[in-house]
Amino acid sequence: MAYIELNEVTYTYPLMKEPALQNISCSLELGKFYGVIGENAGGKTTFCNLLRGLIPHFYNGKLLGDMTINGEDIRKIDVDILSTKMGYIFQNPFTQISGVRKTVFEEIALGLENLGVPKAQMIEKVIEVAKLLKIEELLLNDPNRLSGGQRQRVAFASIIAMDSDIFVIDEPTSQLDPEGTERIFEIIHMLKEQGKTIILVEHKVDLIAEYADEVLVFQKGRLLKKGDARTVLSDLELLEHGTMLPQAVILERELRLNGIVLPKVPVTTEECIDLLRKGDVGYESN
Amino acid sequence: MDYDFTKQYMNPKRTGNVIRDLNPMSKVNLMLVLGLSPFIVQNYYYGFGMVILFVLFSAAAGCFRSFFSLYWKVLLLFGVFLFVVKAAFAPGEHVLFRLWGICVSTESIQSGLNIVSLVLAFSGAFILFVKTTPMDEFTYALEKKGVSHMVSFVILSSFQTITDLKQNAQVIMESQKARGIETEGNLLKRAKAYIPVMGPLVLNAISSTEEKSIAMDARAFSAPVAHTFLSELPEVSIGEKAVVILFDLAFVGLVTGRIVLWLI
Repeated sequence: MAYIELNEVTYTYPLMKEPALQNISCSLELGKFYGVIGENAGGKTTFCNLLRGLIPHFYNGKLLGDMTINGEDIRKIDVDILSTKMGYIFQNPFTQISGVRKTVFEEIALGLENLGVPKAQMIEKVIEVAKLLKIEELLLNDPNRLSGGQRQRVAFASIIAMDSDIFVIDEPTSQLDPEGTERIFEIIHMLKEQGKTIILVEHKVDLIAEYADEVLVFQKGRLLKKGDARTVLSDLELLEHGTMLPQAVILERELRLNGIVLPKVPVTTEECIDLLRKGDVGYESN
Repeated sequence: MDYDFTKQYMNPKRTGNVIRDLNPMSKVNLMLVLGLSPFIVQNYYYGFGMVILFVLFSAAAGCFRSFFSLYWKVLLLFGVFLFVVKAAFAPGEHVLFRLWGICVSTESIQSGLNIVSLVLAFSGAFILFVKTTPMDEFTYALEKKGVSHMVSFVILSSFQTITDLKQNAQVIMESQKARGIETEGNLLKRAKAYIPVMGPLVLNAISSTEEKSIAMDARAFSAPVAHTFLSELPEVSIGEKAVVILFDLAFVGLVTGRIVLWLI
């Protein structure tokens, strides 16, 4: 059953002439992992802001169409309550740290303080999350002096500690190195294993291919495609719209152009290796 | 990992230093009373006495270095400047010397000393408060007094913004240096290096404010529940309350005395 539903939603930021989102209709279910991809300025972050209720409550602008979260109209929803149910992590690791706490331990506890969690329970929870995210060695560090990757992990820990069921994650690795990216995806993988609902905006399509159940493709504020990850990510038409596809899909296309045909289009590297290893390959003469 | 450090959160925060362990609201009270009293007394011996007292307090609170490293700048920047201006231009009968439009007299020197003592006494009290009171403790005390969570956060993040701006400025200056731009040397050279970075610095601070407020929203900052605190401060002791009341009474006495003298 759909938890979030959008029906012909169009949104224009204040002082802007062109809408950032146009006629978006889709529904999102609980427990699924949604990958959101598309070209820059395609409307992905605006979509996240909408899901999180920041539109229309934080950014005024002009919102048309209908949107409901758990049956409640987005315009009437209490965002303060929504913030307790929906975690939001965004790209800049440097602005996600409150800056007002002296240690990472206290930083992670901040959200729990805001939720009114009793002290003993709060301490227990912070330790649990720190262990889970393998950031125990950072607990006594000053959060303002961490690297970008470390800050991003602390931001994740702070949100995970709040026990949200839904996570809206907007390009969490855009400013991180490969190692930092890998660690963040370990966390995202863990959240998926826990059955959390994840809406992840990410340019690294190979990682999306690996984890996502469904993929949404945005272009110029419009929802170009939405569907099962395999179907969407193997659609070569997306390349014409400037959307990157997984390396495995590109490789399959190149192989096919050179007369080597795989039995199906692999979307992940592992799948590609598996197909090639099995030797289930056909040959066509050009 | 050893989680023994979490035990500190189970008890109210104490440092073991009498001055530092005063409740932030008591410190605010004492800061105002001691810092404003020279304005009532209007005697520069008293004002400079207060300055010495604050220096001694900073030493007793174990923060002499950080206190004085800031205080001497105030002393140099405002103290000397105000004294020179007052001494040079305030009117007086007993002229010591004249040079072009400058006229230094016994009265102008006294007036200079007076204003410097006032500024130094109040700024001394304020700096001492800042150096002995972590801002999170201050905002905690404010919240306990009924101030809204929002106001306390604004205070806390405003202080943090100063640190952030300083750090960002350093990063920008280092980038400028890497590009071969001279950032060190005389005042003019420094100004030339600093002025162009002010715009990006401020714009960056404004844009990050928006993101920070979204980040705070993500942390359920405005969740409609009673907030709890990981770190708590001890209850104010009767002795501490008595000391504060005594100082307050002395201040009221000074104000009353000043009014009476003014009326006579």
